[in-house]
Amino acid sequence: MLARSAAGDEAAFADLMREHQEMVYSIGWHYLRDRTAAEELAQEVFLHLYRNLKAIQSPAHLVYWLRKVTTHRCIDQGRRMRLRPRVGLEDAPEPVAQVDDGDPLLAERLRRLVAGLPERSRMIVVLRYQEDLEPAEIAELLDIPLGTVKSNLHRALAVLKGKLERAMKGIRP
Amino acid sequence: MTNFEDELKAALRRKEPPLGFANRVMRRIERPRPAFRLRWAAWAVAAGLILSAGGLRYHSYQVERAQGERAKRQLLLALEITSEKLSLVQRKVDALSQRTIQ
Repeated sequence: MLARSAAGDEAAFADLMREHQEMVYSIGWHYLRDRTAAEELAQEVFLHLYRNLKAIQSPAHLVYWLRKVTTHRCIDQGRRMRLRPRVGLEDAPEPVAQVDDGDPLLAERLRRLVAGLPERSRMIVVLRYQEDLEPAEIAELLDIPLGTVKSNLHRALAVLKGKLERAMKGIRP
Repeated sequence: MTNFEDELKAALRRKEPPLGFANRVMRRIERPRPAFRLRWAAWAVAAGLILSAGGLRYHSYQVERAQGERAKRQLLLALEITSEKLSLVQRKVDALSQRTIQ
């Protein structure tokens, strides 16, 4: 499919895109928390891919390339959107019922908390838990030292846990 | 992985992009194509016009040159005829002069 896409087969490229669109869009969505911005970003990533298909050497390289381009564009886009109001824990709507595992309200609350993390930590958390990447892989993607990834991840988890626990206390008797 | 990390993983599960995403990207890929073709068509038309203009200019130069050559030939012929006529007149004048003297 990759070779056919690089040879100019548009149907093959469309299939290639359908195979990876979920990954690209979700990184954008979880990082930016803006559906329109995430779609626009994902479209730009695939247009960029279309123009650079000849540089892609293998399916594994394609995934690496897509993740790298997407994360860097997310960070740039996030900086441009810095003025948008950040969603803090206090802004999140209160759940109407006690939260359990698998509760969509808990998931939504967690996503909002992730969106409130600082840029770098947010991207590290998204790559770690959405893409299931190891810290070393994240370090390579973001061009930062492994130690920075580990410390950011550790701190981000502590912040998220703390905020979630405070929220739980607030809604449980 | 702790329970909290599992919850985080579930919360950050991949999401499908909005319906028609791939089609919208394909439309954006196809869009520049007419412009690309138009640009080449414009270059081709411009090149054609330049070549045509050059060809016309060369053709009119050739026509002018042929006309000039023809005019030159006609002038030379006219001069030749005039010269012959003048020689004839000269001969007649000479003959009349001879008779008058005799």
